[in-house]
Amino acid sequence: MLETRNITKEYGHIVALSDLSLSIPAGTIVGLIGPNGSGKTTFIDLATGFSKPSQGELLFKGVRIDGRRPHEISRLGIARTFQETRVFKKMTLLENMLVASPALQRSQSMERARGQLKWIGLSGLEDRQAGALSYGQQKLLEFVRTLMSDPTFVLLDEPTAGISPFLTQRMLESFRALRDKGKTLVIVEHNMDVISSVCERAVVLHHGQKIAEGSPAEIQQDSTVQDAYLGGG
Amino acid sequence: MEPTVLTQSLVNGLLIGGIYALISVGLTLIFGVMRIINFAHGDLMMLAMYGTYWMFTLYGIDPYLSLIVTVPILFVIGSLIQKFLVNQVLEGADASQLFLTLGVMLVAQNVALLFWKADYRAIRTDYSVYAIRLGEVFVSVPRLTSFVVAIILTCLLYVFLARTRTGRAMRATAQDREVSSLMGVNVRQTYILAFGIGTACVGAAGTLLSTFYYISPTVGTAFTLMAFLAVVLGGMGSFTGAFFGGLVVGLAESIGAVYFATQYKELVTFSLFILVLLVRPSGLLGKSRM
Amino acid sequence: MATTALTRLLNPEAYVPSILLLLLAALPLVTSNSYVLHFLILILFYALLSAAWNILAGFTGQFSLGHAAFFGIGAYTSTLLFIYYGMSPWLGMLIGSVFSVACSLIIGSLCFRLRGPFFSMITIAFAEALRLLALNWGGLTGGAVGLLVPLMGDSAVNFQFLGRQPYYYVLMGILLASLLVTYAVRNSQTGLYFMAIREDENAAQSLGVNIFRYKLLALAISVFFTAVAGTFYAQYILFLHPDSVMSLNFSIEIALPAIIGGMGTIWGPIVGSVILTPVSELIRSILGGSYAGVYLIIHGSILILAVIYFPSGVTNRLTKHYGAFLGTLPGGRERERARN
Repeated sequence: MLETRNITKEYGHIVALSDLSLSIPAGTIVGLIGPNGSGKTTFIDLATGFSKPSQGELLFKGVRIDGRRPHEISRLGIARTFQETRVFKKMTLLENMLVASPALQRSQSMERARGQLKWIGLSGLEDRQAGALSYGQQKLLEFVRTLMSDPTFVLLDEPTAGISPFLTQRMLESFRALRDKGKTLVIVEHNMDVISSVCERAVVLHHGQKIAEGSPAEIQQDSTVQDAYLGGG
Repeated sequence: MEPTVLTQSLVNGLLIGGIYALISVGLTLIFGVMRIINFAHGDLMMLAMYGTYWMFTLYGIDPYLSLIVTVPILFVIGSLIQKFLVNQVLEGADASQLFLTLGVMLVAQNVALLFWKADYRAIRTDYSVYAIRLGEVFVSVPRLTSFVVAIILTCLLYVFLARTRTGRAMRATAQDREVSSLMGVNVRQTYILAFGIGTACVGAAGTLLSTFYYISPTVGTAFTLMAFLAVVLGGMGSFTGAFFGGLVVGLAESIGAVYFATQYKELVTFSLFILVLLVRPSGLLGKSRM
Repeated sequence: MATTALTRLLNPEAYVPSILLLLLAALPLVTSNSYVLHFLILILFYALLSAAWNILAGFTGQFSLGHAAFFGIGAYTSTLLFIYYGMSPWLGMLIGSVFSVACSLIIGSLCFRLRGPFFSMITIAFAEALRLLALNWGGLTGGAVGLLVPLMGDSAVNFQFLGRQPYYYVLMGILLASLLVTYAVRNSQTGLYFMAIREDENAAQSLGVNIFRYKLLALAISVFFTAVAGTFYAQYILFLHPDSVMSLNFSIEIALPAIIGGMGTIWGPIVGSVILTPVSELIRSILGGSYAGVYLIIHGSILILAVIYFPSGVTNRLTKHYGAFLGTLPGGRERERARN
């Protein structure tokens, strides 16, 4: 579904991604892991139009998307969340959801939005300002907001970071539900438990390069991966 | 075009550029440490110019001597502004800080207008009209002296930032507020110091400028914008960038005045500003720390 | 709970503003004191200008400090068309605002590449450049001498009146139109996009919002009303000068009522104008023309205080009190019940 061919991203002297080629099949959940600074967020930025590769191509369903602008890529069916959890703080939860809804009748969108909020467990809070929510609730909101446009491909940047185990479980269940509906997810994570429990495959990045790829179990036993995390290289 | 006219302009441009550099360095310090765009920068300088003027007119104190007074006073004013005004809105939206300095700008300009009226004033010392002749070019004594003093002050500031502990603390705070405070740096104090020093820079610059530049309540705005241009040119937050940016703007202005009529001199500055902002907002000369 | 149209009218939320509106409309019929009307016109004028600025700055978060330029373009366009082609200023107003919008779209597409304070800076640069152009292009604009609008006496066709009442009503009409547009936008999907841009541009983009296009849209609506106000000014004051109508100080004046009153709200600019405009007028009448700048000291101080103590504007604080007040009025209790 998403394919990158030899992409490289340089910021001046810093090489964030180096000759990265990978392929994400449709209808799967793929984990993207690696130490801090290994290029995971850069990958998401490239895939969603927030950045352009210095070299290489990105293809979505066979069509090139590198260099396109974020809102265009969103229209193609690709959605993302951010590491810093970007909800619209001074707008209500419902308003947050409605921004993301396609141009439908307002009443239809509102029904759908309420439904989604209920599905993720945020019902009753629709008219609260998003900034008043707890951190975990904001992360849930940011996640479910991306689903309003019914994307086929969702990239999630550390979706469970800093939230309670209870909310984490809720998120993981929803990830599985989405996959069962045929959607494709890429999850950037540090938490190996999360990766093991939902991802079919995982890709490990280090210094901008792919150093391992396989099932979570295989990854955990891979010596190069262990070196990367422990060796501090 | 006679080469002499061009050379004369380049010399004058460089000389005033030195003072621009001092102003810009002050602005970039304030931005670098606190991420604040100080719209009141030029108007604080205007206050220093008036201070110098009155000390000269009423007490006969030579402008260069009054540096001893204007620099500390402007330092104090800057520190007070930071302590009582800006520090209150640090956690707010970026817009709040912008509007705050705009408010200070309005107050400063119009207080000056109220007390000293809109008439242009100038300081005429014995040496105001002296000039040194270097070949075909005349170098005005006040311009040259002010240039030299400005350069000395900028170098002193550089040494302060690079070599002293306080200076290093300031640079550390500019890089990373949280880490610095974890390492024992009193961030709020550092901010006060930074704004104070930044304002002291324009205090000095104002005094130096007043030896050959006219003084009026509205003179500050053009310098604020000039400083923005220099700082953006050199990279926001970069000391050397702001320094060379100031020199470049001084030169560009003078060259512009040669080829275009004087009224269009400001237009040149603005066009350059727009161009730089659009083409390379991260600066042409130094590194940006945005 | 079904509400009929009558029930809605009995709701204080609806009738209080309506009564105020009627009072405002009736005022010129009650008093013909020229000075009082001028005073009110000024309040409405700055309310309009700030409301227009607010559409861009308050809703999409783009703080333009160059709006005076677009005001000037509107004012000069209609006036020059009037002087050279005898075109009715009403038509000139339309052409002037369309032209001003077109200019703003060109300038905006360059400025919107920058964000935050850099956007503000480049708007200042463009506006100052335009002011200098106007100042030096004497042949077109009268330059430093200024431009006098030809006197036509009491002539509705030529948008000039001897009394103040017609001006008052025209201005009220324009202000109401701008408020209606603001209200409609705020409650539409476009309004949601505007606010999303203000809150977080990157997040908005990731959700499919073309932030560039919507910023330009907000700018266009904002500049339209700003330029219309420009023509009004030209026809009311009958004299234009680049340093009055296109200056940075004027751009700041345009922004102040919205900042003080509350950006991103509909009533903020009006409340702000009600607070600020009397100050400048009182100072001017007490101290006289030579102390023209004094009111700016007060405005600047109010700005500083507002930013520190009322960062989201005065209106937000007042809204709660206003809500409580509405609850005490007839029909208020039903309203409270319906809400809970």
